Amino acid sequence: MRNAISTRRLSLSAMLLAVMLLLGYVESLFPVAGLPGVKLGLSNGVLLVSLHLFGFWHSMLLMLGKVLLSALLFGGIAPMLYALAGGIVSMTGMWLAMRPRLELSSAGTGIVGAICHNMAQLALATAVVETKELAYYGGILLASGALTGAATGIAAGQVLRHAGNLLQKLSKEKEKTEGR
Amino acid sequence: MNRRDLALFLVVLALAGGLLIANRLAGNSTSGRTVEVYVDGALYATAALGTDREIRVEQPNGALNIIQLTDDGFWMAYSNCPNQLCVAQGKVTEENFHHRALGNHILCLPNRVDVVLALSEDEEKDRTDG
Repeated sequence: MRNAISTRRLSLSAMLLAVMLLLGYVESLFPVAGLPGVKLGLSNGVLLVSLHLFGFWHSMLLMLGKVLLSALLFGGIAPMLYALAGGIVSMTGMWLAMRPRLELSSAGTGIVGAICHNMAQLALATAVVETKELAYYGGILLASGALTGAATGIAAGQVLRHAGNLLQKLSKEKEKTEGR
Repeated sequence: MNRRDLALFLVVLALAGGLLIANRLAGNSTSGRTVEVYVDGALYATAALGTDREIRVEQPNGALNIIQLTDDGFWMAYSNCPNQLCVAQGKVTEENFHHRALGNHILCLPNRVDVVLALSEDEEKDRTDG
C-alpha cells in the first residue's frame, strides 16, 4: 500500500478539519456589524499550520473538505462558491508567501492569505453584482485583511512554535513502528 | 512579526487607505440607495440611485407620472394629475430627506403614486421616533 495515507496523517488531518469547522462556526456567531467578508478567518490560520505540516496539495484537500462540509452544515451553494474562490487563491498565496527567500514569518504569510482570500471574494462579487461600491469596499477588505491576517498568522505561528515538533512527528507519512 | 511582515502590513494598510481616499475624492459616495415606486400601495418598480434615468409610471386609467433619477436623488419630473403637488415637492436626496416635510417620500395623491427613498432600519427608526 505505497499510496495509502498513514493513520497518523489521516487522524491529524481529520482533527485539523474538525477544528476548522468548529472555528468557522464559532466565527459565524459573531458577525461584524453589517460588513460581509470582514471576519477573523481563524480557519485560515489552521490551513497555515497545515501548509507547514503537509505541504500544498494535502492542505488544499483539507481546505476543500472544510468548504464542502461547511456548506453542508451551515451554508449553501452561494456562500460555498465564495468560500471556494477565497480558499483556492488564499492557499496559493500563502504557499508562495512561505518561500524562504521572502523572509516572511507566519504573520506576514497570514496577511497574504487573508488579503488573497478577501480580494478573490471581492473579485467574484464584482463579477456577480457590478457596483462601483465594491471598489470602495476593497479598501475596507484590504485593511481588515491586514489586521485579521496578522492576528491569525501570529496565532498559527505560536501553535507551530509550541506544538510544531509534536505535530511534525504526527504528520510523518511513514509509520515509525514498521518492525513487525 | 519580523520587519518584513511589518513592512508588508504597512504597505497593505497604506494601499487600503489610498483606495478609500481615492474613492472619497472621486465622489463615488452613493451608498447604493434604492428608490421604490408604489402605485396604489403595491410595489411598482425599484431602481438604484447612481444612474441618470427616468421611470415612467403609466396606469390603465390614463394616469402618467415620470420620475427622474440622478446620481444623488430623484424628483417627479412630470405628472398629469390636476394639482401638480408632486412636481412641486422637489428633489429628494440622501442629505435632505431628514428635513423635508414629506421626508423620503414624493407623493402624488391623485394618481396614487408614492416614490420612496429606501432607508436603512436605523434611519427608519430615527424618522418615526422623531
